[in-house]
Amino acid sequence: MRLFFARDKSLLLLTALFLLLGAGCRDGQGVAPASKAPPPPPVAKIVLGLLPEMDIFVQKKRYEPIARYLSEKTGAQIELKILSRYGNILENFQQEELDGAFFGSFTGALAIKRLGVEPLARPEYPDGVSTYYGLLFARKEKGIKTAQDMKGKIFVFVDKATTAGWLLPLYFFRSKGIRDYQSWFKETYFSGTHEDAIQDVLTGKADLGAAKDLIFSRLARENPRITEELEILAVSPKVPANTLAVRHDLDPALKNALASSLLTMHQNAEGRRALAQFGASRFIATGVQDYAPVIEYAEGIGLDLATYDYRND
Amino acid sequence: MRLKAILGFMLLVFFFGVGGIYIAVNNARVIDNLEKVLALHQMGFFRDNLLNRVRIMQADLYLAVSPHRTKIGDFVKHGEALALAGESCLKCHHSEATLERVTHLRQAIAEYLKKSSRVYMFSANNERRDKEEKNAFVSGMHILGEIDKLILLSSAHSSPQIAMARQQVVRMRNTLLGLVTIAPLIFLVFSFLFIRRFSSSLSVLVGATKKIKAGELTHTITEQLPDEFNVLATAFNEMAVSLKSQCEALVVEQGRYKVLFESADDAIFIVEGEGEGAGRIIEANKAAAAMHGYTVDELLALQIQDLDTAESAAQAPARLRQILAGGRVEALVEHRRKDGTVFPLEVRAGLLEIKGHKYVLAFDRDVTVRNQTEAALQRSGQLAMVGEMAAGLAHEIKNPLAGIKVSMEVLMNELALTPEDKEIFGRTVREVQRIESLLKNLLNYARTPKPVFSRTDLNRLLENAMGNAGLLLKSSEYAAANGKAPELVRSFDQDLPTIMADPSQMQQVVLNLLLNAMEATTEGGTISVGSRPGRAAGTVEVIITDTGKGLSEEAAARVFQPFYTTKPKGSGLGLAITRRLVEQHHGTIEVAGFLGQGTTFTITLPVEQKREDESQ
Repeated sequence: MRLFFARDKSLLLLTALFLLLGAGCRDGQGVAPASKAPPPPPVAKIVLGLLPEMDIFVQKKRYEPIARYLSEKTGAQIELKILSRYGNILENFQQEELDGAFFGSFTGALAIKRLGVEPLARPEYPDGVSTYYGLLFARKEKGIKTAQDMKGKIFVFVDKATTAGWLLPLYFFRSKGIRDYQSWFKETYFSGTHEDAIQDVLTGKADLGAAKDLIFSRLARENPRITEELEILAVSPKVPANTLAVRHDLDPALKNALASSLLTMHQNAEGRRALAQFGASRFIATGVQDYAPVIEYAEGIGLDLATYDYRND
Repeated sequence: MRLKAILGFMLLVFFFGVGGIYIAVNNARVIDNLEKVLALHQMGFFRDNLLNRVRIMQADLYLAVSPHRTKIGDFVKHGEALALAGESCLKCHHSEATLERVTHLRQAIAEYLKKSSRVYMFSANNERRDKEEKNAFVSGMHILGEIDKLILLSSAHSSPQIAMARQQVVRMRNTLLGLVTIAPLIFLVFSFLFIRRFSSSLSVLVGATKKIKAGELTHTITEQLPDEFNVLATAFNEMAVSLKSQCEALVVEQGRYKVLFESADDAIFIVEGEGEGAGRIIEANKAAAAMHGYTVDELLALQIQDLDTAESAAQAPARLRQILAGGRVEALVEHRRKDGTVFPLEVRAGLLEIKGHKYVLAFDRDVTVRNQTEAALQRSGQLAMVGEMAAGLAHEIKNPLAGIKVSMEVLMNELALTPEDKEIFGRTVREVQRIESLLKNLLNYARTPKPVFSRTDLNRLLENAMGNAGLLLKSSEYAAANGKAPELVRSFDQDLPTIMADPSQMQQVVLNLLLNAMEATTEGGTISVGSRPGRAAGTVEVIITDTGKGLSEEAAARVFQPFYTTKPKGSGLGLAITRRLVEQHHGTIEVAGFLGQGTTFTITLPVEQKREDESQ
């Protein structure tokens, strides 16, 4: 070790000597100092929030190919940040200084209304679908068909800031004459993710639940029991799939770069590879008008998006 | 050796390779075990994490309805963390039973999350809320219980695995330590053996080389060296033998040249040719030392110029330049001996280059004798020419002189003369007779007849000559002129071979010498005549010795010259004719004697003559 250190020290000394000599030589030659190059522009960093549609670890992993692709194409460093709850996304958007997020349909509508975010693009899935709808389901064996059948049961919502996991059940309850769902049901709770809502009903932790069809279909492909043992009781109108929306004051160049990168990624192999890993076929342009069905749906159940308290009880 | 070295190297590579593979395999196994242990610990961490996540969720649920409720964003995060922790458990490796448990656990977590989500999203009365919270909380406790069971189950499985993994790690650590310790040791042992084998052989070779260098050429390597070193040692021994034989040959050759150098009659010098020491004598042979009266060592301390006379030394630089330019010098110079005497030399010198250095090689010949001989020959030639002229003249004079003598005799007999006149006529006739005798000798010398060789008994010839001499010695004329006659002594070798000679000429030679001895030996004395085999093979010697008045040194040197005589009435041609006759027999005649001590003549004659001469 001592030898190594001695050799290392000698190497260091030699290096220092060469550096000194090199410096001396340069000074001696009287070369004029090079003009200072302009510092490279700082790499832009974009923090994008992700909603806990499913297992948060899986959710983040699912979006990583998209984030890598965007980083490469835009030159900006894309960082993904999982949000603990749907509703939190509005607070987190400001607290965590998010530049954008893949909003769900309801959270997107809320963010447009309250934060003024600008929707850019949303995925279109291989079957040509770029929207989703909410499902209200129960275990077939329970024989639940009517509101009366639901009485005294356990209902699992996703989150108060979801279309499928909250607006649809509320709309369904209202249409079935259930004014106070908390007293109507034995117990209600929020699973936090669509996946858990489906799994809870499937495993019997809850009797009824609501979630988005996209997650339902995906889980059903992995576990046939879902379609075999669960029964769809109600369906919501189609709403836009999770859409990337950015803050309104984001650098327009970055904004355009993000939008164009997403919208053209299906046109190159690298993009197609990332889309395949994500599970989509392409991204399509999305505007505020695409959220009109959600807003109408919310207003239909008497929610004022501007003042709506989206925090779970 | 090379093959062994390659094999050794390959073995080492093999061992290291195998060791490396073993280490790598075990290392991988250890890493697997460690990963397994880590996974088990990680699993434990995941379980603990899962436990904590559930407990956090339980706490969130517990506080869900309190003021301290967890924010939804944090709660989602806690849930996501729990789900993630649950998923993590599934990623671990489990047995089938455990996997089933974990799967159930994950389902339970999913259920728990759903229930928890529900608690957080739920909005109902307290009873329902309590029920839902309890339901979720119980699920959480159940999960905690399941996790505890899983922990116990996993511990039962993982503890032995951890223990086994730990054992394997320890075993591997020990093995690695062993390898790390042993491998260098093996390498060292191999290296030591190889180097010792290599160096010991090299030491033997180097030692042998040093001995050869020290001159011990008979040294050979007797040790049995391994592999190529033995080949090298054999080659080394062969080289030593070859070197020795070459050295011996060189020594023999050097000795031969040394003998040639030292036995040469001429003086041989090697002289420094260039530089400050130019002229210094480097080498000199014994003849040079003897010629100059120095020892060789004394000569080597001298310059060649030191031996020159002043006149010769003045010409030395020019000769040296000529030699250094590649020329060859032949010159007559004069050198001075150690005792100061000067003598003439004929010098032949040339350039000698040894390893790029220039020397002068000089051959000096003492020409004193040659000069003297040439001078004598010149004089002899002149005398011969004079003799020829005298002989011609004598031939022409002889007839008129005979006429004069006859006329004088006729007149002396026919005329009536007074005794005084008769004495005058008689003296005139005797003088004419002396002139005739002189002319006869002159003709004999100038026109010596060619010898007619035949097999001759020299002892008998000597005996005849001594007989004739004895008759003369007994005559009254001899006694009147010389007094008491000398004694004649014989000393013949009875085994003397007969020789090819002209008996009459040999008779003349011996008689001439005996007459000279008889004239020199007066009032008694001894004349000895002897014969013996010659000192050179195929020769015989005749020795005639008298105890007469002897010869002076000058007389001894000139005694054979024509017209040289010590006698008052001698013609000076007797010994000249004698030597000529001996030389016509291819022999030699020498004289030795001192004044008052007698004289000895030694004649050396070949036993056989050449064919062409015999036929004459």
